[in-house]
Amino acid sequence: MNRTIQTRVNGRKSIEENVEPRMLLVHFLRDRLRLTGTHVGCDSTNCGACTVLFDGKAVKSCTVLAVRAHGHEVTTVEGLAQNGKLHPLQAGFQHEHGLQCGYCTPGFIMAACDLLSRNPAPTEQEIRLGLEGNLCRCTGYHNIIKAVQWAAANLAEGKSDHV
Amino acid sequence: MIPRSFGYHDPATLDEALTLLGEYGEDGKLMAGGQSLLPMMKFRLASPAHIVDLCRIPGVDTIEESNGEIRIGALATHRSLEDSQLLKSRCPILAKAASSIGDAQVRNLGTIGGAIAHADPAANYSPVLVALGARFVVRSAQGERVVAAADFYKDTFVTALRPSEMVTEIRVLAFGREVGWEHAKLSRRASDFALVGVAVLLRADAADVCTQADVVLGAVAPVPVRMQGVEVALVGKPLTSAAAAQAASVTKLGDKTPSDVHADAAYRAEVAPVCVRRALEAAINRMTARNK
Repeated sequence: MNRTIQTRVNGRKSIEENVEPRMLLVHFLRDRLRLTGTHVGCDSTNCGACTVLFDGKAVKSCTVLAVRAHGHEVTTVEGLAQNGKLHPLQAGFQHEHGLQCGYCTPGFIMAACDLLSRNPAPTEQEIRLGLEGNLCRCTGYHNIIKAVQWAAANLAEGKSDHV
Repeated sequence: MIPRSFGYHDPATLDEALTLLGEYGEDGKLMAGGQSLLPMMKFRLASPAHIVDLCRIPGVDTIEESNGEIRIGALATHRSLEDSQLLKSRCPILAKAASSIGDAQVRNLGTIGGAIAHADPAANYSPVLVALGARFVVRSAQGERVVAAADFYKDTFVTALRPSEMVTEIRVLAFGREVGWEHAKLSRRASDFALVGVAVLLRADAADVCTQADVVLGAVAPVPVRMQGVEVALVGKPLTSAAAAQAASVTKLGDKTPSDVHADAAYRAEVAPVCVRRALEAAINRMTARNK
Protein backbone atom coordinates (compact mmCIF):
# COMPACT_ATOMS: atom_id res chain seq x y z
CA MET A 1 0.00 0.00 0.00
CA ASN A 2 1.33 3.41 -0.93
CA ARG A 3 2.41 5.75 1.82
CA THR A 4 2.42 9.41 2.64
CA ILE A 5 5.89 10.38 3.69
CA GLN A 6 6.91 13.41 5.60
CA THR A 7 10.55 14.41 5.44
CA ARG A 8 12.77 17.41 5.92
CA VAL A 9 14.86 17.85 2.78
CA ASN A 10 17.51 20.56 2.73
CA GLY A 11 15.88 22.08 5.79
CA ARG A 12 12.45 22.29 4.18
CA LYS A 13 9.49 20.19 5.29
CA SER A 14 8.05 18.06 2.54
CA ILE A 15 4.90 15.97 2.51
CA GLU A 16 4.54 13.61 -0.42
CA GLU A 17 1.49 11.43 -0.88
CA ASN A 18 1.11 8.15 -2.65
CA VAL A 19 4.70 6.93 -2.49
CA GLU A 20 5.13 3.34 -3.57
CA PRO A 21 7.20 1.36 -0.99
CA ARG A 22 9.55 0.15 -3.73
CA MET A 23 10.42 3.68 -4.82
CA LEU A 24 14.10 4.38 -4.21
CA LEU A 25 15.18 7.51 -2.38
CA VAL A 26 17.12 8.77 -5.40
CA HIS A 27 13.99 8.66 -7.60
CA PHE A 28 11.97 10.30 -4.86
CA LEU A 29 14.45 13.17 -4.70
CA ARG A 30 14.79 13.56 -8.45
CA ASP A 31 11.31 12.78 -9.75
CA ARG A 32 9.09 13.88 -6.88
CA LEU A 33 11.04 16.77 -5.39
CA ARG A 34 12.80 17.74 -8.64
CA LEU A 35 16.15 17.83 -6.89
CA THR A 36 18.15 16.62 -9.86
CA GLY A 37 21.55 17.47 -8.40
CA THR A 38 21.62 13.93 -7.02
CA HIS A 39 22.67 11.73 -9.94
CA VAL A 40 22.00 8.13 -10.86
CA GLY A 41 25.24 6.51 -11.93
CA CYS A 42 25.65 2.75 -11.66
CA ASP A 43 22.35 2.21 -9.85
CA SER A 44 23.98 -0.71 -8.03
CA THR A 45 25.62 0.68 -4.85
CA ASN A 46 29.05 1.01 -6.42
CA CYS A 47 29.70 4.45 -7.89
CA GLY A 48 28.41 6.81 -5.19
CA ALA A 49 27.01 9.40 -7.65
CA CYS A 50 23.68 9.28 -5.76
CA THR A 51 25.22 9.95 -2.33
CA VAL A 52 23.13 12.17 -0.03
CA LEU A 53 23.17 12.80 3.70
CA PHE A 54 20.54 10.87 5.65
CA ASP A 55 20.37 12.34 9.16
CA GLY A 56 23.82 13.74 8.47
CA LYS A 57 25.40 10.46 7.33
CA ALA A 58 26.37 9.72 3.74
CA VAL A 59 24.27 7.01 2.10
CA LYS A 60 23.79 5.80 -1.45
CA SER A 61 20.26 6.91 -2.24
CA CYS A 62 19.86 4.22 -4.93
CA THR A 63 20.05 1.70 -2.08
CA VAL A 64 17.54 3.21 0.34
CA LEU A 65 13.77 2.91 0.10
CA ALA A 66 12.17 6.36 0.00
CA VAL A 67 9.62 5.31 2.64
CA ARG A 68 12.53 4.99 5.07
CA ALA A 69 13.05 8.74 4.91
CA HIS A 70 9.70 9.34 6.64
CA GLY A 71 10.46 11.30 9.78
CA HIS A 72 14.08 11.85 8.81
CA GLU A 73 16.28 14.56 7.37
CA VAL A 74 17.89 14.41 3.96
CA THR A 75 20.48 16.80 2.58
CA THR A 76 21.33 16.91 -1.11
CA VAL A 77 23.94 18.99 -2.90
CA GLU A 78 21.26 21.68 -3.42
CA GLY A 79 21.13 22.15 0.34
CA LEU A 80 24.78 23.00 0.90
CA ALA A 81 25.09 26.61 -0.25
CA GLN A 82 23.96 29.12 2.37
CA ASN A 83 22.67 32.59 1.49
CA GLY A 84 24.00 32.31 -2.03
CA LYS A 85 27.47 31.34 -0.87
CA LEU A 86 28.95 28.02 -1.86
CA HIS A 87 29.83 25.49 0.81
CA PRO A 88 33.63 25.21 1.22
CA LEU A 89 33.51 21.77 -0.42
CA GLN A 90 31.73 23.18 -3.46
CA ALA A 91 34.18 26.07 -3.55
CA GLY A 92 37.06 23.63 -3.13
CA PHE A 93 36.00 21.54 -6.11
CA GLN A 94 35.78 24.75 -8.16
CA HIS A 95 39.04 26.19 -6.87
CA GLU A 96 41.10 23.02 -7.28
CA HIS A 97 39.36 21.91 -10.49
CA GLY A 98 38.16 18.73 -8.81
CA LEU A 99 35.98 17.73 -11.74
CA GLN A 100 35.86 17.40 -15.48
CA CYS A 101 32.47 16.15 -16.66
CA GLY A 102 30.98 16.78 -13.21
CA TYR A 103 28.68 13.78 -13.13
CA CYS A 104 30.21 12.26 -10.00
CA THR A 105 30.75 15.62 -8.27
CA PRO A 106 27.59 15.95 -6.14
CA GLY A 107 28.16 12.45 -4.77
CA PHE A 108 31.79 13.19 -3.99
CA ILE A 109 30.86 16.42 -2.25
CA MET A 110 28.20 14.75 -0.09
CA ALA A 111 30.52 11.85 0.81
CA ALA A 112 33.24 14.37 1.66
CA CYS A 113 30.76 16.24 3.91
CA ASP A 114 30.38 13.10 6.01
CA LEU A 115 34.13 12.47 5.93
CA LEU A 116 34.98 15.97 7.17
CA SER A 117 32.28 15.85 9.84
CA ARG A 118 33.97 12.74 11.27
CA ASN A 119 37.53 13.84 10.63
CA PRO A 120 37.98 17.59 10.07
CA ALA A 121 41.70 17.28 9.24
CA PRO A 122 42.14 14.09 7.22
CA THR A 123 45.45 13.02 5.71
CA GLU A 124 45.64 12.36 1.98
CA GLN A 125 45.42 8.62 2.71
CA GLU A 126 42.37 9.13 4.92
CA ILE A 127 40.66 11.12 2.18
CA ARG A 128 41.40 8.42 -0.40
CA LEU A 129 40.07 5.70 1.91
CA GLY A 130 37.13 7.81 3.05
CA LEU A 131 35.99 8.39 -0.53
CA GLU A 132 36.48 4.80 -1.69
CA GLY A 133 32.74 4.52 -2.23
CA ASN A 134 32.79 7.10 -5.00
CA LEU A 135 34.06 6.62 -8.53
CA CYS A 136 35.31 9.32 -10.92
CA ARG A 137 36.17 8.28 -14.46
CA CYS A 138 37.68 11.62 -15.54
CA THR A 139 40.07 13.11 -13.05
CA GLY A 140 42.29 10.37 -11.69
CA TYR A 141 41.22 11.66 -8.26
CA HIS A 142 44.23 13.93 -7.67
CA ASN A 143 42.30 17.17 -7.85
CA ILE A 144 39.41 15.71 -5.89
CA ILE A 145 41.81 15.02 -3.03
CA LYS A 146 43.12 18.58 -3.31
CA ALA A 147 39.58 19.96 -3.31
CA VAL A 148 38.77 18.14 -0.06
CA GLN A 149 42.04 19.33 1.47
CA TRP A 150 41.19 22.89 0.38
CA ALA A 151 37.76 22.59 2.00
CA ALA A 152 39.21 21.12 5.21
CA ALA A 153 41.70 24.00 5.49
CA ASN A 154 39.02 26.61 4.84
CA LEU A 155 36.51 25.03 7.19
CA ALA A 156 39.22 25.02 9.87
CA GLU A 157 39.74 28.72 9.40
CA GLY A 158 36.01 29.23 9.73
CA LYS A 159 35.69 30.74 6.28
CA SER A 160 32.82 29.78 4.08
CA ASP A 161 32.79 32.55 1.52
CA HIS A 162 35.74 31.72 -0.67
CA VAL A 163 34.29 32.38 -4.07
CA MET B 1 16.36 -0.65 -11.66
CA ILE B 2 13.57 -0.97 -9.16
CA PRO B 3 12.49 -3.98 -7.14
CA ARG B 4 9.32 -5.93 -7.81
CA SER B 5 6.36 -4.72 -5.76
CA PHE B 6 6.15 -5.99 -2.20
CA GLY B 7 4.03 -5.55 0.88
CA TYR B 8 5.84 -3.14 3.17
CA HIS B 9 5.76 -3.26 6.96
CA ASP B 10 7.80 -1.09 9.29
CA PRO B 11 6.87 -2.24 12.80
CA ALA B 12 7.82 -0.14 15.82
CA THR B 13 8.82 -3.04 18.06
CA LEU B 14 10.79 -6.25 17.80
CA ASP B 15 7.79 -8.28 18.95
CA GLU B 16 5.65 -6.89 16.16
CA ALA B 17 8.39 -7.62 13.64
CA LEU B 18 8.68 -11.22 14.83
CA THR B 19 4.90 -11.67 14.70
CA LEU B 20 4.86 -10.41 11.11
CA LEU B 21 7.78 -12.65 10.21
CA GLY B 22 6.00 -15.63 11.76
CA GLU B 23 2.88 -14.79 9.76
CA TYR B 24 4.60 -14.48 6.38
CA GLY B 25 7.14 -17.30 6.82
CA GLU B 26 9.00 -17.97 3.56
CA ASP B 27 7.20 -15.05 1.88
CA GLY B 28 8.59 -12.50 4.33
CA LYS B 29 12.05 -11.05 4.51
CA LEU B 30 13.57 -8.84 7.16
CA MET B 31 15.35 -5.72 5.96
CA ALA B 32 18.01 -4.34 8.31
CA GLY B 33 20.41 -1.93 6.54
CA GLY B 34 19.28 -3.25 3.17
CA GLN B 35 22.74 -2.92 1.65
CA SER B 36 22.76 -6.50 0.33
CA LEU B 37 19.04 -7.24 0.17
CA LEU B 38 17.98 -4.14 -1.76
CA PRO B 39 20.58 -4.57 -4.54
CA MET B 40 19.46 -8.22 -4.83
CA MET B 41 15.86 -7.05 -5.10
CA LYS B 42 16.78 -4.46 -7.74
CA PHE B 43 18.55 -7.11 -9.79
CA ARG B 44 15.46 -9.29 -9.22
CA LEU B 45 17.66 -11.99 -7.67
CA ALA B 46 15.31 -11.77 -4.70
CA SER B 47 11.62 -10.85 -4.85
CA PRO B 48 10.14 -11.23 -1.38
CA ALA B 49 6.37 -10.79 -1.23
CA HIS B 50 6.68 -8.94 2.09
CA ILE B 51 9.42 -6.76 3.51
CA VAL B 52 9.52 -6.33 7.27
CA ASP B 53 11.68 -3.24 7.63
CA LEU B 54 13.48 -3.04 10.97
CA CYS B 55 14.46 0.63 10.59
CA ARG B 56 11.91 1.94 13.13
CA ILE B 57 12.76 -0.42 15.98
CA PRO B 58 14.73 1.36 18.69
CA GLY B 59 17.24 -0.08 21.13
CA VAL B 60 18.53 -3.04 19.11
CA ASP B 61 21.77 -1.29 18.19
CA THR B 62 23.62 -0.98 21.49
CA ILE B 63 27.16 -2.21 22.17
CA GLU B 64 27.73 -3.02 25.85
CA GLU B 65 30.01 -5.06 28.06
CA SER B 66 28.87 -6.92 31.13
CA ASN B 67 30.93 -9.48 33.09
CA GLY B 68 33.56 -9.74 30.39
CA GLU B 69 31.05 -10.36 27.64
CA ILE B 70 30.30 -7.85 24.90
CA ARG B 71 26.73 -7.76 23.64
CA ILE B 72 26.08 -6.15 20.30
CA GLY B 73 22.55 -5.40 19.14
CA ALA B 74 21.90 -6.90 15.72
CA LEU B 75 20.96 -3.52 14.24
CA ALA B 76 24.26 -1.88 15.18
CA THR B 77 25.76 -0.52 11.97
CA HIS B 78 29.23 -1.37 10.73
CA ARG B 79 30.06 2.27 11.30
CA SER B 80 29.07 2.10 14.96
CA LEU B 81 31.23 -1.01 15.43
CA GLU B 82 34.12 0.65 13.63
CA ASP B 83 33.82 3.74 15.84
CA SER B 84 33.05 1.96 19.13
CA GLN B 85 35.60 2.84 21.81
CA LEU B 86 34.47 -0.25 23.73
CA LEU B 87 35.26 -2.55 20.82
CA LYS B 88 38.51 -0.76 20.04
CA SER B 89 39.78 -1.54 23.52
CA ARG B 90 37.95 -4.79 24.35
CA CYS B 91 37.48 -6.56 21.00
CA PRO B 92 39.54 -4.64 18.45
CA ILE B 93 39.47 -7.41 15.86
CA LEU B 94 35.74 -6.84 15.42
CA ALA B 95 36.15 -3.06 15.05
CA LYS B 96 38.82 -3.63 12.42
CA ALA B 97 36.71 -6.16 10.53
CA ALA B 98 33.82 -3.67 10.49
CA SER B 99 36.03 -0.87 9.19
CA SER B 100 36.82 -2.57 5.89
CA ILE B 101 33.30 -3.63 4.93
CA GLY B 102 32.13 -2.06 1.68
CA ASP B 103 32.62 1.69 1.77
CA ALA B 104 31.68 4.51 4.12
CA GLN B 105 28.17 4.87 2.72
CA VAL B 106 27.47 1.14 3.00
CA ARG B 107 28.88 1.05 6.54
CA ASN B 108 26.54 3.88 7.55
CA LEU B 109 23.52 1.66 6.86
CA GLY B 110 24.64 -1.97 6.88
CA THR B 111 24.27 -3.85 10.18
CA ILE B 112 26.11 -6.70 11.83
CA GLY B 113 22.93 -8.73 12.25
CA GLY B 114 22.02 -8.25 8.61
CA ALA B 115 25.48 -9.29 7.47
CA ILE B 116 25.39 -12.40 9.67
CA ALA B 117 21.96 -13.47 8.45
CA HIS B 118 22.90 -12.80 4.82
CA ALA B 119 25.87 -15.20 5.25
CA ASP B 120 27.89 -14.22 2.22
CA PRO B 121 30.88 -16.60 2.36
CA ALA B 122 33.24 -13.72 1.48
CA ALA B 123 31.94 -11.34 4.15
CA ASN B 124 34.25 -9.89 6.80
CA TYR B 125 32.57 -10.85 10.05
CA SER B 126 32.05 -14.59 9.70
CA PRO B 127 35.66 -15.85 10.16
CA VAL B 128 36.19 -13.33 12.96
CA LEU B 129 33.05 -14.40 14.81
CA VAL B 130 33.92 -18.08 14.49
CA ALA B 131 37.46 -17.38 15.75
CA LEU B 132 36.02 -15.44 18.69
CA GLY B 133 33.62 -18.26 19.56
CA ALA B 134 30.76 -15.78 19.24
CA ARG B 135 27.21 -16.73 20.10
CA PHE B 136 24.15 -15.38 18.37
CA VAL B 137 20.86 -14.76 20.15
CA VAL B 138 18.11 -15.86 17.79
CA ARG B 139 14.49 -14.95 18.41
CA SER B 140 11.12 -15.79 16.96
CA ALA B 141 7.60 -15.06 18.20
CA GLN B 142 7.81 -18.45 19.94
CA GLY B 143 10.94 -17.80 21.94
CA GLU B 144 14.67 -17.44 22.01
CA ARG B 145 17.69 -19.66 21.50
CA VAL B 146 21.43 -19.15 21.38
CA VAL B 147 23.46 -20.50 18.46
CA ALA B 148 27.25 -20.72 18.35
CA ALA B 149 28.80 -18.99 15.33
CA ALA B 150 30.50 -22.26 14.38
CA ASP B 151 27.07 -23.97 14.14
CA PHE B 152 25.29 -21.03 12.48
CA TYR B 153 26.79 -20.98 9.00
CA LYS B 154 25.46 -23.90 6.95
CA ASP B 155 26.24 -23.12 3.31
CA THR B 156 26.56 -20.22 0.86
CA PHE B 157 23.82 -17.75 1.97
CA VAL B 158 22.35 -20.50 4.17
CA THR B 159 22.24 -20.34 7.97
CA ALA B 160 20.68 -22.13 10.92
CA LEU B 161 17.91 -19.48 10.98
CA ARG B 162 14.38 -20.70 10.47
CA PRO B 163 12.11 -18.49 8.32
CA SER B 164 10.42 -17.11 11.45
CA GLU B 165 13.67 -16.28 13.26
CA MET B 166 15.87 -13.23 13.54
CA VAL B 167 19.36 -12.71 14.96
CA THR B 168 18.83 -10.11 17.69
CA GLU B 169 22.17 -10.01 19.49
CA ILE B 170 25.80 -11.02 19.04
CA ARG B 171 27.82 -12.03 22.10
CA VAL B 172 31.60 -12.24 22.21
CA LEU B 173 34.09 -12.49 25.06
CA ALA B 174 36.07 -9.32 25.63
CA PHE B 175 39.84 -9.49 25.64
CA GLY B 176 42.73 -7.17 26.36
CA ARG B 177 46.29 -6.72 25.26
CA GLU B 178 47.18 -10.27 26.28
CA VAL B 179 45.71 -11.49 22.98
CA GLY B 180 47.47 -11.06 19.64
CA TRP B 181 44.94 -10.59 16.88
CA GLU B 182 44.47 -9.74 13.23
CA HIS B 183 41.75 -9.59 10.64
CA ALA B 184 42.90 -9.17 7.09
CA LYS B 185 41.54 -9.81 3.66
CA LEU B 186 43.01 -10.10 0.25
CA SER B 187 40.85 -8.25 -2.23
CA ARG B 188 41.35 -6.49 -5.52
CA ARG B 189 40.40 -3.12 -4.05
CA ALA B 190 39.84 -1.99 -0.48
CA SER B 191 36.04 -1.98 -0.74
CA ASP B 192 35.71 -5.37 -2.39
CA PHE B 193 34.66 -8.64 -0.84
CA ALA B 194 37.50 -10.90 0.28
CA LEU B 195 39.17 -13.37 -2.07
CA VAL B 196 40.68 -14.77 1.11
CA GLY B 197 39.75 -13.51 4.59
CA VAL B 198 41.75 -14.37 7.71
CA ALA B 199 40.96 -14.04 11.40
CA VAL B 200 43.70 -14.81 13.93
CA LEU B 201 43.63 -14.79 17.76
CA LEU B 202 46.74 -15.88 19.68
CA ARG B 203 47.28 -16.37 23.38
CA ALA B 204 50.65 -17.04 25.00
CA ASP B 205 52.28 -17.53 28.38
CA ALA B 206 54.77 -15.11 29.95
CA ALA B 207 57.59 -16.54 27.83
CA ASP B 208 55.59 -15.91 24.60
CA VAL B 209 54.98 -19.61 24.10
CA CYS B 210 51.62 -20.04 22.34
CA THR B 211 48.92 -21.51 24.57
CA GLN B 212 45.96 -21.08 22.23
CA ALA B 213 45.58 -20.27 18.56
CA ASP B 214 42.40 -19.57 16.63
CA VAL B 215 42.89 -19.28 12.87
CA VAL B 216 39.77 -19.11 10.69
CA LEU B 217 39.52 -18.38 6.97
CA GLY B 218 36.65 -16.82 5.06
CA ALA B 219 35.88 -16.80 1.31
CA VAL B 220 37.65 -20.12 0.69
CA ALA B 221 34.60 -22.33 1.28
CA PRO B 222 30.81 -21.92 1.58
CA VAL B 223 31.27 -21.37 5.34
CA PRO B 224 34.15 -20.11 7.53
CA VAL B 225 36.84 -22.77 7.96
CA ARG B 226 39.00 -23.30 11.03
CA MET B 227 42.61 -24.10 10.08
CA GLN B 228 43.17 -26.79 12.67
CA GLY B 229 46.54 -27.82 11.25
CA VAL B 230 47.84 -24.27 11.60
CA GLU B 231 46.50 -24.00 15.14
CA VAL B 232 48.11 -27.28 16.20
CA ALA B 233 51.41 -26.20 14.64
CA LEU B 234 51.42 -23.03 16.75
CA VAL B 235 50.43 -24.25 20.20
CA GLY B 236 53.44 -24.99 22.38
CA LYS B 237 55.81 -23.05 20.14
CA PRO B 238 57.45 -19.70 20.92
CA LEU B 239 55.63 -17.07 18.87
CA THR B 240 58.24 -15.96 16.36
CA SER B 241 58.02 -15.12 12.70
CA ALA B 242 59.74 -18.44 11.95
CA ALA B 243 56.95 -20.23 13.83
CA ALA B 244 54.37 -18.18 11.91
CA ALA B 245 55.92 -19.12 8.59
CA GLN B 246 56.12 -22.79 9.51
CA ALA B 247 52.53 -22.91 10.78
CA ALA B 248 51.19 -20.94 7.79
CA SER B 249 52.72 -23.47 5.42
CA VAL B 250 50.30 -26.06 6.82
CA THR B 251 47.32 -24.03 5.50
CA LYS B 252 45.20 -26.34 3.42
CA LEU B 253 41.98 -25.54 1.62
CA GLY B 254 39.25 -28.10 1.06
CA ASP B 255 37.61 -29.28 -2.15
CA LYS B 256 34.80 -26.73 -1.86
CA THR B 257 37.08 -23.77 -2.52
CA PRO B 258 35.13 -21.46 -4.83
CA SER B 259 36.25 -20.27 -8.25
CA ASP B 260 34.94 -17.08 -9.78
CA VAL B 261 36.04 -14.41 -12.26
CA HIS B 262 38.28 -12.78 -9.67
CA ALA B 263 40.09 -15.84 -8.33
CA ASP B 264 39.94 -19.51 -9.13
CA ALA B 265 40.37 -22.20 -6.48
CA ALA B 266 44.01 -22.82 -7.38
CA TYR B 267 44.83 -19.13 -6.92
CA ARG B 268 43.09 -19.03 -3.55
CA ALA B 269 45.01 -22.15 -2.47
CA GLU B 270 48.25 -20.46 -3.53
CA VAL B 271 47.65 -17.16 -1.70
CA ALA B 272 45.90 -18.48 1.42
CA PRO B 273 49.14 -19.57 3.17
CA VAL B 274 50.65 -16.17 2.43
CA CYS B 275 47.60 -14.42 3.91
CA VAL B 276 47.79 -16.67 6.98
CA ARG B 277 51.51 -15.99 7.47
CA ARG B 278 51.04 -12.22 7.23
CA ALA B 279 48.09 -12.31 9.64
CA LEU B 280 50.03 -14.44 12.13
CA GLU B 281 52.96 -12.04 11.97
CA ALA B 282 50.69 -9.06 12.56
CA ALA B 283 49.08 -10.83 15.53
CA ILE B 284 52.48 -11.74 16.98
CA ASN B 285 53.69 -8.15 16.55
CA ARG B 286 50.65 -6.85 18.41
CA MET B 287 51.23 -9.35 21.19
CA THR B 288 54.92 -8.53 21.64
CA ALA B 289 54.14 -4.81 21.50
CA ARG B 290 52.04 -5.24 24.67
CA ASN B 291 55.21 -5.76 26.71
CA LYS B 292 56.69 -2.45 25.63
